[in-house]
Amino acid sequence: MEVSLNFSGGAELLFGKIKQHIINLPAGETWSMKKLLSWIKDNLLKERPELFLQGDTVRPGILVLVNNADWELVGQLDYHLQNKDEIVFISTLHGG
Amino acid sequence: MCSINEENLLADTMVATPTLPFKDAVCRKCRIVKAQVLLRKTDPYCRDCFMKYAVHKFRSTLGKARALQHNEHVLLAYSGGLSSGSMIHLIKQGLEASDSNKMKLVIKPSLLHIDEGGILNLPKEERKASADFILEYAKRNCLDVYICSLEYSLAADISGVKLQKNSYEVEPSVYANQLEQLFGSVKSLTAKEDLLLRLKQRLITLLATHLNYPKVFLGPNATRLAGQLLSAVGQGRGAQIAQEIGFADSRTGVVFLRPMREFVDKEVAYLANFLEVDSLCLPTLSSKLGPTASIGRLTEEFVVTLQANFPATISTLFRTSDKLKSNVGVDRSSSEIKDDSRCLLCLSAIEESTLCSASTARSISQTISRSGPSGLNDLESEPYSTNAQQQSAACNANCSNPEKQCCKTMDAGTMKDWSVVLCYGCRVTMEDVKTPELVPINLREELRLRSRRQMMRQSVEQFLL
Repeated sequence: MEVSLNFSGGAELLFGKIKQHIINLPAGETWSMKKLLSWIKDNLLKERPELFLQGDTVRPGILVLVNNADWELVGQLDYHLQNKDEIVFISTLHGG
Repeated sequence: MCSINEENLLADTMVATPTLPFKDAVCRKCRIVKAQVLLRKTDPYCRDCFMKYAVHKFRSTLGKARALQHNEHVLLAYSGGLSSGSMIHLIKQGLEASDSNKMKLVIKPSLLHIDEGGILNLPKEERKASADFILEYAKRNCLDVYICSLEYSLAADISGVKLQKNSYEVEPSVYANQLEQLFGSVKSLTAKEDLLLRLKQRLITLLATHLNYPKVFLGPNATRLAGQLLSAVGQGRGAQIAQEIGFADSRTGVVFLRPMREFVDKEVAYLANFLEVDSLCLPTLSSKLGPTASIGRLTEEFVVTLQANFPATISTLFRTSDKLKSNVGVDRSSSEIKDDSRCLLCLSAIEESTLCSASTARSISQTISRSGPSGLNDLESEPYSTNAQQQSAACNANCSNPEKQCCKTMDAGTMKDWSVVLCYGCRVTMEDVKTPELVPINLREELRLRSRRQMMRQSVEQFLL
């Protein structure tokens, strides 16, 4: 399953300054956002995980958009990823 | 009998905004289109209604304050971040507005960017890349851009500043070393952040005056300002809140305006996403640090975490702060406050330290806690200045007596002596700076001048009618 992850607003600092990551998740499993977040923590997050994640969810101040809609409108952590989904993580704490 | 059941109290006061299931919600305004945006945890909007709401809020913030005049030259301070980027896009939209019922925004904007790479120890290529991004951005939006390096904030006046329109080279000047030294000598991160803010303000004022732009638009959004509000109160700048986070700041000759003030960080993020604002990722002094690294970081963490569950936090903070206006300088235009009673660093009015003021009370309690009641006796015998200062104030500038402690050799003195030239908040910051002579505010000279004037005023006071 191919999913594209975009980081902006300063969040990319934690991911090697790369804004767009296109990742391939092993098919055959249902990927919820919760699972994706822990996958990101294990595979993409280069440093300071506590600045991106807080427990199961993202840190307050980080906005998550799934296909240009707020993730709270699609079920937040329980949303199941589809192929070619576009997930955007915007850090609102950086830059003015 | 009054009995408060602790458990119930806690439950009553900590009612968070309920998280209603919003899956597949419809926009609450048009009720037709599926919602894409969720504001304040309970209000879903579709993209178009959200954009209309945001643009309307922006225009009304500008219009309400009657801040702009027709065809005025305005400088847009662009840091590369999402907030200032969205601000620029909104202004561009306003300039091109084709709606006949909406008033077209008629101003002449230019971009201004300050290169802070020097104090962040960024390599030259990175600074060049950031500058290129900004030049490219300005060209795409048909705006003139001025990029200036932060080190020129240490220049005494505009003649020392190297500034070109629409181009920039990373060439460290003689001030670059001084800047590094200055920031290297500051102990705490809080003081560094405060000093950075003051230097940026100084540089922007210098450039805006030189280029003849009477107004500057700054980009901070409501969340950032709320954090700044709390940290200002924590650092002793409570009297200056109205200017530090209000819409308009006219302490310097140039008017600083904050049009993004009404937008919460989430709204700015949506705006940036829908307007396709490209952001430049520049680290700041407190990037990648924990929440206790500085007062600013702590208050930011506090506000953001609270806001996540209680969306009314920031608006409550703002409503309260709008009512807090300082006694000194309220409604007085900047020209009415005498130059003598302005802080050299932040240009706010210095609080009066009379016998009953808060700053006097604080210095008394500080003296007692440090040196016991005997310290208080020493304090009382010299009300406003040290002995050395009194002696030196008495002699005139032309004295040539080698034995007497002359005003020319006077030390900058202790923090207490700085109360004639710096406001309380700046004094706290400067206390952490080990090389105060590098800060371009003529500390010694002004200190001498103002102390002597004060002594003169005191001696003549009784004779004034």
